[in-house]
Amino acid sequence: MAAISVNGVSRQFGSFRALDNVSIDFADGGFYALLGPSGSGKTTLLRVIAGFDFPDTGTITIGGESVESIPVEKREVGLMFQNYALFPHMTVYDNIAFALTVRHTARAEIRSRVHEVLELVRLQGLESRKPAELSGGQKQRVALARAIVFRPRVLLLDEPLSALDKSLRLEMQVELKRIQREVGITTLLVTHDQEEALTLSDRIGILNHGVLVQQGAPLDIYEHPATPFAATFLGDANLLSAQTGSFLPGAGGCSVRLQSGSTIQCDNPDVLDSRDIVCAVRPEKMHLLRSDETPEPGMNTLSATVVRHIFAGSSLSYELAWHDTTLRVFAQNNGAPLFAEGSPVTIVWHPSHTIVMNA
Amino acid sequence: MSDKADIQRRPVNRALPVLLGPAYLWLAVTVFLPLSAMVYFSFLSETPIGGREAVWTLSNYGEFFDKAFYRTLMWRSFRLGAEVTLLCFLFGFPCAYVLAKMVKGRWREALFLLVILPFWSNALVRIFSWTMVLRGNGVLERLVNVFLPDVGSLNLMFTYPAILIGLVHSYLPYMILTCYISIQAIDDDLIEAARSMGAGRFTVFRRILLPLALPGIMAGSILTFVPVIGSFMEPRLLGGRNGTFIGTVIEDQFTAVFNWPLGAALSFIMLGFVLIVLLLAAPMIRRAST
Ligand SMILES: Nc1ncnc2c1ncn2[C@@H]1O[C@H](COP(=O)(O)OP(=O)(O)O)[C@@H](O)[C@H]1O
Ligand SMILES: [Mg+2]
Repeated sequence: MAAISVNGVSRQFGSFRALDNVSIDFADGGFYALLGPSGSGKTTLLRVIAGFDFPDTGTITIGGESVESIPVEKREVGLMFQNYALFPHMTVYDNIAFALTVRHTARAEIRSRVHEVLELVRLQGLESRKPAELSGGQKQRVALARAIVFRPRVLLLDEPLSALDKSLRLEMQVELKRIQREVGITTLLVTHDQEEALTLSDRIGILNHGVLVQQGAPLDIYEHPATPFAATFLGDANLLSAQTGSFLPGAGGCSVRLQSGSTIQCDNPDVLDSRDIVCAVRPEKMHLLRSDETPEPGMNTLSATVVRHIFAGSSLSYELAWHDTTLRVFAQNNGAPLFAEGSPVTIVWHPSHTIVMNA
Repeated sequence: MSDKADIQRRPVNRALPVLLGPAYLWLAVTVFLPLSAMVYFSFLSETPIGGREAVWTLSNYGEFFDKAFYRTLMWRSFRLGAEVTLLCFLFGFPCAYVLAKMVKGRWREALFLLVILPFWSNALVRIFSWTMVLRGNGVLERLVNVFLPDVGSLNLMFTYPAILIGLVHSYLPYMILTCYISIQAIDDDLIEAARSMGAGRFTVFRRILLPLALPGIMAGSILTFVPVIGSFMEPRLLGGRNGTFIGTVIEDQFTAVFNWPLGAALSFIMLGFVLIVLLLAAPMIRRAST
């Protein structure tokens, strides 16, 4: 088990920057998610850490040891591939034992280690099957068993669950988390699925165009995204553009004049530097009032019109027209009467839920 | 599952004769008929031309088992087949690997062209050009002498190595192409997965590449081994007096000695030995095709 430290790593393919000065630390035993849209450089970063690719600039250390000159086969990293990459000509047993036989582990030791890990991933009894005779979920488990059986220092997973259907994916997420806890191995999961990142990891790093946009605990990033990209990629957000230079810090909080002319309050003094400001509000932080109701004093309000509501069982989401923007508001399905399409409403939220970011 | 299979099987069944018919008819006419004629000849006492009287006999087959000369030749031919196949594998597999995994795009096309270049020239021309290269004071000798003046004469022409060179040249493309196809089908992720689990290059080769490329290696080996055993042009032109093999002896019976019955009998004995070898290799071939 070991910590990973990535310092100022850049990687260029031709004139294309796949990684741009990325620095991120992964502490020993943690579960990290690298989250970003397709093509943002997640796989490239993982391959650089694994040793399949090398950074143009910057350094990587695993367990405090610089790994530049260590080839993949000596780095002691467990890898799980998106398409499982099980050896088709070997049985489940031989697939899992591969890393141990390469290390010339004694036969009895191999037996007990393989059975131990098969028990961990709950695949006892399938030792003599070939990969072609396994279901998707079982292949997944074999791939995971194979990646951890030799007790690597870190476990790297590249979108490991994206080939599974939804119910199996949820089940495997729980399993993955359980196994990671039991083994206690530093785990780095690459995903473009924000939900997966939020439920599984202790910390998230968000990548966009090869740049590490933000890193932090899931809740922190969710509540305090640093950029509009982070706000919209991790969770849903209503973006409200502010007028240039309209950000006014005050004693109890600050005020921002939006481009539509309304002024809203926020109590976030983090951003002081910038004249160009974007505000964001999460849809579940807003609620709706009939336009003739009076909101509590001190709340932010916007007048809008209901475009439609989308029913999703336990919850509803409203689409609202506000000037020429569409806003979204989530509501619990708690028996309150629905707002009809076309009816005027007031959107209400607390100033502390206004996220202020640099544009 | 079985219902679905039934539904899918029926239309295929009807198409089968249409799809297989032409090929098998062609093979029947071009292989079966001449082969039957040869079977017939092999049991005759004389070549039935020029009004000679022929009677049924087994003596042509008996000859092979009576004379140690033929057994030695048969053994020599099989050794030649094995050595040429091995050399083709040793040169062809790395080449196929590089073509399949390391070069991309136009470079791959260009290198492919070079591999199949021998197919474009006539076999006889190809072998004769080797005599120009290998003979005393030939192209190769002069080239070597430019760099290493002390070596002197190589004496390669009319030797066993000359035959090996010619045959490897002729059959290498088959090995490269069959290996290329099976190596290309191996997912890069498998190789990377093996490396991440600690396998060095040799382990990756031995435990991943080799078993997964076995179908191609076996196909290439059979395509090389079988024709090399019966080959006569390369041994004759490049081997001279050292170039006597079962293939050249059979050819002599047909073109020089006019003892067709003996030639036919020797051919069938050779075929028998080839079948025995393939049968012995069958477990490996079967493993390669599953
Ligand atoms: N070997 C390579 N050569 C050229 N471009 C590459 C190579 N590997 C990745 N890229 C490019 O780098 C970008 C990031 O790729 P990748 O790290 O795979 O993204 P992600 O995994 O986040 O989807 C992509 O635009 C991709 O085309
Ligand atoms: Mg990727």
